[in-house]
Amino acid sequence: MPKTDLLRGTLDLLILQSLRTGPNHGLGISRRIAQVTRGAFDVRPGSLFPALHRLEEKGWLSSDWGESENNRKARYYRLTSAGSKQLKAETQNWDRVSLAIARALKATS
Amino acid sequence: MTMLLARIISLVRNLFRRERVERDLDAELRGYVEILTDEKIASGMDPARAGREARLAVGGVEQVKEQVRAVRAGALLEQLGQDVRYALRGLRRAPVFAVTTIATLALGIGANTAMFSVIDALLLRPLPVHEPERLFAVYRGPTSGAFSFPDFRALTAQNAVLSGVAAWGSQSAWLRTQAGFDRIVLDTVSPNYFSLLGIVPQTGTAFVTTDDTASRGMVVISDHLWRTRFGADPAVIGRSIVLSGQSMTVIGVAPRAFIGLQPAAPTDGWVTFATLSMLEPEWDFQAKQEVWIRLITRLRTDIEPRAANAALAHIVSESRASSTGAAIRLVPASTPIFDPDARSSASRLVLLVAGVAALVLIIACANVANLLIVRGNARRREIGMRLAVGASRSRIARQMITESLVLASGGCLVGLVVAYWTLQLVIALAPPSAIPPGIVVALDARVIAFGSLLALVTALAFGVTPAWHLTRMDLLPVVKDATGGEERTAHGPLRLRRGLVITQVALSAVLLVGAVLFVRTLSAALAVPPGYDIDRVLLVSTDFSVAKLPPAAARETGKRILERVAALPGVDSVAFGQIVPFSGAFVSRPALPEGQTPTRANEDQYLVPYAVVSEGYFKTLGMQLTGRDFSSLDSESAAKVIIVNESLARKYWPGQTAVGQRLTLPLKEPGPSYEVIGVVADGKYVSLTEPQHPYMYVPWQQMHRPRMTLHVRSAGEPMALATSVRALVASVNSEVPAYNPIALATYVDRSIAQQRIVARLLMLFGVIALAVAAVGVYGLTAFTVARRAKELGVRVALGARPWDLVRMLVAQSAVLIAAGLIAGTAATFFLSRLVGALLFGVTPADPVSFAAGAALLAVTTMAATIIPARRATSVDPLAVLRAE
Repeated sequence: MPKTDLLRGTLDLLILQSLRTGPNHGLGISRRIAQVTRGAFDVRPGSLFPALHRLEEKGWLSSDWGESENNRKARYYRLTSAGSKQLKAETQNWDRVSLAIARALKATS
Repeated sequence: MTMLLARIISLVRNLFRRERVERDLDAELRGYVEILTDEKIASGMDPARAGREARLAVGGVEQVKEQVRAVRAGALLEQLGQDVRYALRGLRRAPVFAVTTIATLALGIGANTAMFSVIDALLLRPLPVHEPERLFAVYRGPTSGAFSFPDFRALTAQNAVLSGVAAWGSQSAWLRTQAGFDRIVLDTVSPNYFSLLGIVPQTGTAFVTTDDTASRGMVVISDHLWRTRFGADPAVIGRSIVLSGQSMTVIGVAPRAFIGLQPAAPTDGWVTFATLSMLEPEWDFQAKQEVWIRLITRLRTDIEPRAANAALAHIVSESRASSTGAAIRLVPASTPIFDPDARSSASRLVLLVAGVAALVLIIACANVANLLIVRGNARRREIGMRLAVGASRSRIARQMITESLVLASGGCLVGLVVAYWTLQLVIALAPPSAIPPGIVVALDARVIAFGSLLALVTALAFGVTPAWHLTRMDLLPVVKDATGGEERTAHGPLRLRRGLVITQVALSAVLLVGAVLFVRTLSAALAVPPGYDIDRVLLVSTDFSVAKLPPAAARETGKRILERVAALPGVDSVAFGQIVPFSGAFVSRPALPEGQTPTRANEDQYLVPYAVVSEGYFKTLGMQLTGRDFSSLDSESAAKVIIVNESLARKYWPGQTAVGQRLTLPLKEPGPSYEVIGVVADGKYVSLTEPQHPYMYVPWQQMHRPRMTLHVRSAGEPMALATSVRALVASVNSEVPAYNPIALATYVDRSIAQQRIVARLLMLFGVIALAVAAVGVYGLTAFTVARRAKELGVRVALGARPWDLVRMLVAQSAVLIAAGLIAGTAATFFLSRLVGALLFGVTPADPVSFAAGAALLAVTTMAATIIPARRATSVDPLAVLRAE
């Protein structure tokens, strides 16, 4: 797993996580992230869309055109099987890292 | 097949999908704004404000789009880079495969690129003129491009549809050099020729367009002539040169790329009509009946070619004395291939060799596809695993096609080197009629572009199908099977390999049967007695017209030359002949037994080819003569005499003695009567492969011809006499060119050069193709034996005798070989008709050639089957069953 900068890695992880329950469109994904992080992350389109397209290029997401609740044309993203695997690996990685950092912070204080 | 097509399309779309990405991105962002607006309206905001706030929330739409674009483009580049690196790494691990493949492709691409550069120079390269697309050649009917001077004037006079007409016609001329004389091709053109074409000389100027008399004695020379005869000296402008005995001034050097309007027959220089009357004072070239001019015209920009054809239809037919009724039409002259005359001036040989080169490339592709399948098979497990862990099929396919492209690029690079050497070889070996010396054949940008395109096409041709098969495989068995390397379930590649074997056998059949046809043609042609003793005869051409001698003085000079050459040591005998056997020259005129009168309808039947010869001609060429030879007594004032060949004697006086009969030669109304004084044995006159036909000989004293060739029979090597004979002619009269010394045997040899070159090429490539096909069959059988080892083991365990297994395997191969043979012979049956004109002594459907080619192929490929099939006999049933 290449070490990417924390913020981008975090955003990717959050996007993958938010799609675990089912496909969603861009606005829906940012809403869901805001909801699960209780507003700690407000993902703006300027960082959301590049991330979505990057994840699709990596083959972790696939996209299809669908209609929103109000019959608006929207692009729906879903997790691919590679994406699910990636999510699992990232989650474990995150757990390990966050645990390690928590320990480190505790030790110095 | 449709699946395959769909996949290729999606691949291409993925590679060039920018436009779609842009459109999708627009729609996606619009959707985002719309949904947000809907939500805000739903929560009670007024629509206008909701829209504004939603757009504000997105931030700069363009900025977002730009960032997404960067992500997409970066990913694409990154993937391409990854794929190329991956391909290179893979190839480094399989060096034998990489080298074999690249070498095979280099051979195919190189041969085709070299031939393309020749065909490009002859036919495909647009003429280096201004606005070539508005340039048209004028034709009458389908193939006739020749007009008279009045036709030219009539077309010039009308300017409703044309913005200009220029005329040109080719003659040969003598260029006086320090060494003697050079025969060059001189185009006589109208003064507006260069300005109409938009060609500006690289040095000096072109002709004055307004006044032809101003250009009298002026010549523009070609770059080739400038380099080869004047050492590319810029001071040539204004220099005086001697052309066919006339002093002329060089006023310009044409650009290097311009060698006349028919590149396959390049021009060495240009003069105008005013100069032609200096060079040919006795020729009334402006007369109505002299049809020799070719017309080139520029269409007005506002006229369509079709409309122009209609407008032109009546003009020329009115000016012509005997209208043939054929319509005038304009033929695009931008590129030589559109022009029927330019097209036919390109040698058939070049096209034939190009066809063989194309076959070689197809065989190379089939071979590489086969290698890729074998390699793909060895990588099944690796690729299966990658598919199983979630790599997308299109990604894997893209990687495999990238590998093919990397191989093809390697093949292209090496191929260009191969092309360079092939080109040198082709230029060195080709007869001058096929690749004229003035033509610029080089590996330029166009040729390199062609080679690259060819590489791309071949990469898709050999790479896509194996990639498609491999990414469609069933994953389960691959992942489960620990050995992994073997194919158990997917039958696709096997079917594909069978198809490739059939293709290879079929193509080999085409080449081999073709080779046998040409080998048989050659041996048949060489077995033909030419009717002369062709060894030890030296030919030296002379031209009395340059010295402007009257006929009587020319004959006196000729006689002195004959006497002096006969006295040279090492000369057995010598004579003049107008037409050299096998040189391709051929003239005829009507000749009738006295008493018969020709009608217009049957005039053609009385046309008899003839040559003007001196006394001693038949003795010098070793021809059997009954009756008497010409002598110095058969002078201009003596009774007219003639010698005929046996065919003519048989045709006109069957069962009678021809000697003593009389012939009339009515060129115009009633012709003079000639007494037959001798009958000479039949010979071949133009080619070894022609049928026997009538021929007649007229004494040179009674029919003056300014251009005669010295035939010298030598005691030893004929070419050893060349220098002394030329020097001797010059000592008799320094104004008489003695040029082009050549052995008669060389002409005879050249007359079958095309067949010889094609026979060698087909044999060479036929053997290569045979080897490739044999390897293909061998590989497939070995593969089958390995794949079915278990089944074969079970069969042996159940009591099958080893030879039953071999027979079974061989029978399976035999079906493929038979299919290939049938396809190949059927293809050859149609293709061989295209070269029917080059064949001799065999028909295009010659059963012996077909049987021999097919038998050679069948025996070789069956042998290639039996060797691996015999391995089946060594299958140990115990070992196989235990391995389960």
